[in-house]
Amino acid sequence: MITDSMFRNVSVQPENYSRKDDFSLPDSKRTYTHQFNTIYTQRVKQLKSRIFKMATAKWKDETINDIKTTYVSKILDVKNLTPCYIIGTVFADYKYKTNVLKEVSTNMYGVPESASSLKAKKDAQEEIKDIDVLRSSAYSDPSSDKLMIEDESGRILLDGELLDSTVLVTGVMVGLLGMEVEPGVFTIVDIVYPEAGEQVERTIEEKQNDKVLFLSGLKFTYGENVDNVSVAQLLKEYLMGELSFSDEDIKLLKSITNIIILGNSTDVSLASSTNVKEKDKYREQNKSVFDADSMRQFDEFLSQLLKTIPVTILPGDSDPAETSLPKQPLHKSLFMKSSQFTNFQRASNPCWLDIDESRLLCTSGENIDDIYKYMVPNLAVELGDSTELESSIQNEVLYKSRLKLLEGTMKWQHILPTAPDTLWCYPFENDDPFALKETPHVYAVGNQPKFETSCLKLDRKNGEEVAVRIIAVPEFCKTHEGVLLDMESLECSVMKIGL
Amino acid sequence: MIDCKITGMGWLTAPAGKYSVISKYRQVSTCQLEITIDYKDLTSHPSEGKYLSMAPLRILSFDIECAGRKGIFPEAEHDPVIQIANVVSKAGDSVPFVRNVFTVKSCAPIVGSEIFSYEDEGEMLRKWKDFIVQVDPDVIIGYNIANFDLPYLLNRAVALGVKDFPYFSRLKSSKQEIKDSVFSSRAYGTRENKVVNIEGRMQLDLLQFIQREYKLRSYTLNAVSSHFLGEQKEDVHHSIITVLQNGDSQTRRRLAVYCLKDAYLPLRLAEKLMCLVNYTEMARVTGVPFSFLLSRGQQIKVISQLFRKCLDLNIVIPNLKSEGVNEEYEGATVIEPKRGYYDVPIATLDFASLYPSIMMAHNLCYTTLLNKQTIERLHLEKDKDYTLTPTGECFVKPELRKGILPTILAELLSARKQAKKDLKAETDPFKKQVLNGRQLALKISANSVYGFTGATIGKLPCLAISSSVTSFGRQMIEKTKQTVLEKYSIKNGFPFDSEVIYGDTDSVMVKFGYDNIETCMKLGEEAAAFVSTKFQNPIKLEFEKVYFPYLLINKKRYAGLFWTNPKKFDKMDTKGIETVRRDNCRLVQNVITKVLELILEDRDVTGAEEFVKKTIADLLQNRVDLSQLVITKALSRQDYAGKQAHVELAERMRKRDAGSAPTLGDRVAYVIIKTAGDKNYEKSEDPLFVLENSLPIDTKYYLENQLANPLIRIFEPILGERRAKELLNGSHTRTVTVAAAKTGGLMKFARKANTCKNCKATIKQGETLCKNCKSQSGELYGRELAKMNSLEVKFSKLWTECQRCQGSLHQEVLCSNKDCPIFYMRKKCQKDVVKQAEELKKWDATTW
Ligand code: SF4
Ligand SMILES: [Zn+2]
Ligand SMILES: [Zn+2]
Repeated sequence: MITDSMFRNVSVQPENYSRKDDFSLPDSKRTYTHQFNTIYTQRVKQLKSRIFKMATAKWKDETINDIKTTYVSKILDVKNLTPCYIIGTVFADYKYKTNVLKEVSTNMYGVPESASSLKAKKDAQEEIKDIDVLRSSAYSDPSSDKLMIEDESGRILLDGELLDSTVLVTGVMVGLLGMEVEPGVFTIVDIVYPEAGEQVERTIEEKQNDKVLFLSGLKFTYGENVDNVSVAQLLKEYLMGELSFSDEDIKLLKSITNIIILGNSTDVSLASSTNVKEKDKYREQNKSVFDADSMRQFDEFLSQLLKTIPVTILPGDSDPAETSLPKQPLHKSLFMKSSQFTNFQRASNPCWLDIDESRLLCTSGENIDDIYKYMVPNLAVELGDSTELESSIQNEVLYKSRLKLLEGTMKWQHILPTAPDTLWCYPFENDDPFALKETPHVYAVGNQPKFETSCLKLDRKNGEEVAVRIIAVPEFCKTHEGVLLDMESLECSVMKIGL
Repeated sequence: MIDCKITGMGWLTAPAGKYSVISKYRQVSTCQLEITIDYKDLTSHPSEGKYLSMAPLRILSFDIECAGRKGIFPEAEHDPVIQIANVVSKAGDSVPFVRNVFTVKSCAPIVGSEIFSYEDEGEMLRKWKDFIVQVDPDVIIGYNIANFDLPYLLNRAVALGVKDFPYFSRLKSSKQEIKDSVFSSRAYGTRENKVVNIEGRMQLDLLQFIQREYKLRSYTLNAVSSHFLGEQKEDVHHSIITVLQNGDSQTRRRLAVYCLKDAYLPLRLAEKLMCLVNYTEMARVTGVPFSFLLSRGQQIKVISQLFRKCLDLNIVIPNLKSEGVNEEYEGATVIEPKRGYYDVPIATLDFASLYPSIMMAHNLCYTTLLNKQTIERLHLEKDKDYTLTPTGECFVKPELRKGILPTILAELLSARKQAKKDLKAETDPFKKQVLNGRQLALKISANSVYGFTGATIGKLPCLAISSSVTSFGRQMIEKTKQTVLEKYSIKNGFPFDSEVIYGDTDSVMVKFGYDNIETCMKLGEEAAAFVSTKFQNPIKLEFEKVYFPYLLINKKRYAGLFWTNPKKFDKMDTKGIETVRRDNCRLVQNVITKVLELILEDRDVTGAEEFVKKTIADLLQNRVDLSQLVITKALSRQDYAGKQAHVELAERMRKRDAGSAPTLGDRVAYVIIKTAGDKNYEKSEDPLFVLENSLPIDTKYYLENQLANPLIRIFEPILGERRAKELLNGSHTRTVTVAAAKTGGLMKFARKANTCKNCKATIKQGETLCKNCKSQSGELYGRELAKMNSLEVKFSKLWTECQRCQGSLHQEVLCSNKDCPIFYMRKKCQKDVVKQAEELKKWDATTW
């Protein structure tokens, strides 16, 4: 049994590091006076030159049909049947994207309609599968989807087989090689991404096999889902060594130096407006969805862990935090007990962490979930008998793996491309904080359906490569799994709580 | 035309050998081929068989942009035309084959469009004229081109002294000129129009077309395209246009893209509404030239047919001077409605083409009208030789002399039957459109014959006919009612006594009593057939539909679900209910629509009541979005006399800032706010000004002057007077929190004390909650968060939508489309979210 922190390994965590405040909102007054075009403009500023570097390196001697390709700096200047390469921002014109115009013209307050095709299924008493729920808010309709690329000068439609195997969503900046075959349609044959940001040097010394534990989606709730709480309790007991008897177990537990909780620790949105008091019927419009009891319970759970392990917590979509990204740290007072501990860290989402001289970039998953919606046909689209989709990438994402989506955000050097188009974020004026200026060593995304990992190599212009460990951290309440990352080898493994 | 049987939009053959071709250099027109032929040698083809097809007309749609001065609606004498966008397409094709923009000064390229830039405006106009002559369109369309774009171009050319500009018709020597024309018609009211002669090219102004054919809340291109195409359209205010023009080739490109959109929209609208097809068929059926259809009323169509028929029959029509006698005759009856909410199916029995059938059945015509002397002279016998109408007029029986009008009508109706039959058999979608257009045209024509005889300021009024027609109609409706009541009664072995709850000109609504739709449909069929036997051929009663449920509010005011098969209702049908009135705000429209949906579709009256109460409570507590409350009216010259809300406001805005104030021709948007005065026209205010200064909305005005009447009208038949009134003043209206004007005199003296966010108890500076409320901190913080989140999401969604709407992520949104529900919402949201962010910040510092 581990009862004393002395026994635990301790990681190296500097108090201050260069990217610590990358995702803090301005302290001064928030103005909201800027339109969203400023973010895109900032994105161009940060990424265009990096794409250009990679594009010229790769294509400057390229020929198509024996004609040498040239760089066309304005999409508008693309000439018919002339091979060239262009750089711009992708825009996805997809049928089932949220359409506020429809919402407000049929509805007086702009409350979004619930997923209607799902309701239809429910009414018909058809079986609703997990994938149906995911598809019910998806944007795509493969038969009418249009991908375009634009810059300040204009837009051009994209075509080409390459699109079937490439993840591209609104807001991604890329360089494309191809040619305008039909008027207004650019057929692409190759693609480049921005040069990867530099990686901080890692001096590998003896790390005694230190490990970081990633958790996400604990979803503490009061009432119906007490299960979530009891599994979490079990996890805590295990981590505290209360259930372990073998030396091996103890050794492993001792090596865990940090716990990072990637959002959705509570599920306060479940307690939504059902308990409206009769006398208030005509009064309040925004109901508090706050459930103090589950919050208290979670605080208790954390404070137990904190006795021996440092914990970092990110706010997620179901936590009491703002919806817009970057989400700011959860309010201190929500953690009466935990806040007493100095090894408790409330982080923003996304956030950069610096542990054992490695840079970790974490999000709680809404970025990937939104990209997923671009890759999957909406529930209203009949998939037909052969459920196989034409596009190989859609197939893979829908049925097999989300890794390509996580890898995509690294390749694009942008972790939140779909904001502000379909994901909500603050209208930044002088910066697009989500465009990467540095490549992390580890990129962890929470609340994913299953554990997946890969080691992605990204190119830099002089032939260098940088490697990123990519981790999809599963939702704990559904899988009872967390992910252990070895800080020396950057390999990872699953930790599962069996019931 | 009539003498040669040539119809508008029909096909002609010039037989070989009968004509001679005029050589190119002697042509007076710019046509491809010019011939001379004796008009008697032309063969006209009736529009049948292969002559049913439409000519491959070349359609040009265009739009101009002018650079106005600040605060003044563009005037041709001063303000230059800076861009003209053109889209040309062949009738029936889905994609235009020419798209281009003529610009003054350079303009960056646009994918898929040609750009022609000129340094000099006059040069651009000249080149545009050349373009028109070269592309040689058969039809010119656009939005408000008749009253704005065309006259503006012509006047501008005069102002610039471009003498060779106004020659773009097909006649080389004909100069295009602007004439004023007043168009007045009983059916369409009076309109002043400008007319530009463009020989050889038809003009179709979509604005005029839509104003004639559809009743809408607003006729701006924005509103119209959102109505018919389901799209919002970015709108650039004319004051910004000048700014864009004076920028660089990129900003001018932006303008050009916008202008192209505006040029393309009319083409898409025309296609969607099939105006060309329908008007073509109307021209062919009635024989009048295409242009008359927009510029003249119904009468001309009847006259044209009358003349044609008389020619066949060798009858001469007297050219009567219209005397303008204003005799009144009794119109159609309506059976007094039994107002109420019917939760059982109501069958509707309709007379098919009632007035035309009456005229045919009783042989009513100018040529069959008898007077006393004639009857005596010829010893005619009543009922054997002539018919005595209920108004005491006598018409000879068809055996003795068949009237012209009945003959025309019979032809029209049988042609319509044929067209409908062909329509069913036809598979080609384009021909289907043509046939459908034709049957509609035939129907409208048949119905307008009656109106023609009754038009007292018309060409050939004959009240003996029209009053006889209506009197027969009345009689028949009454008789139908009696027959149905008598047959479907308990006395006759039915379980219920049927009831006729309402009847208008040509229909009777019957409640049989059964609650099953299928039974009622069967009975309806049966009753229709039975009653038809009691009338003279070709009068026929038809059963068409069942309403269930049915809300009968008053004469010509009802709503119900419309069923033609027992499985699924076809649609919701409403009449005379305030959803389209122009001076209503959007709130009224939305509330009424929702209420009707709840009552009729969900059959949930309680739910509807709840909804209304909730909405009223929201309204009174300022939770309804401002865009719901905006009222818009166009500022036109006549308005200056009376004191009207929008005129007064325009005046006030001009004093505030002449540059941005609405000018003549602009549409003024306003909301009613609380002010010291009590005259409504003093209380109008610019919605943006209201948002910026947080002025209090006069919610009472909206409740009493906008919502109250339509709501009472709907709910009274259902709930009774007392309970309906309760909706408007029940307990839910008592939670009013008065938002005081911020700039009030007293406010200056009130010191702002820090109060508890929850209970409003006074607390120390820097705190957020009082001691008692501290324990609820978490919940209260959660509530502020929830508010923040809903605003953040709204803010993001709204501004991204605009970004999408304007078709670029990188450009700033400039749109000021006041018809778009998003426009005010996004401003309001911006303000709210900033405020809420500050509220939330106060919590950052506190601990609990
Ligand atoms: S307000 Fe926005 S959504 Fe509406 S028309 Fe203008 S740009 Fe489009
Ligand atoms: Zn225009
Ligand atoms: Zn208090």
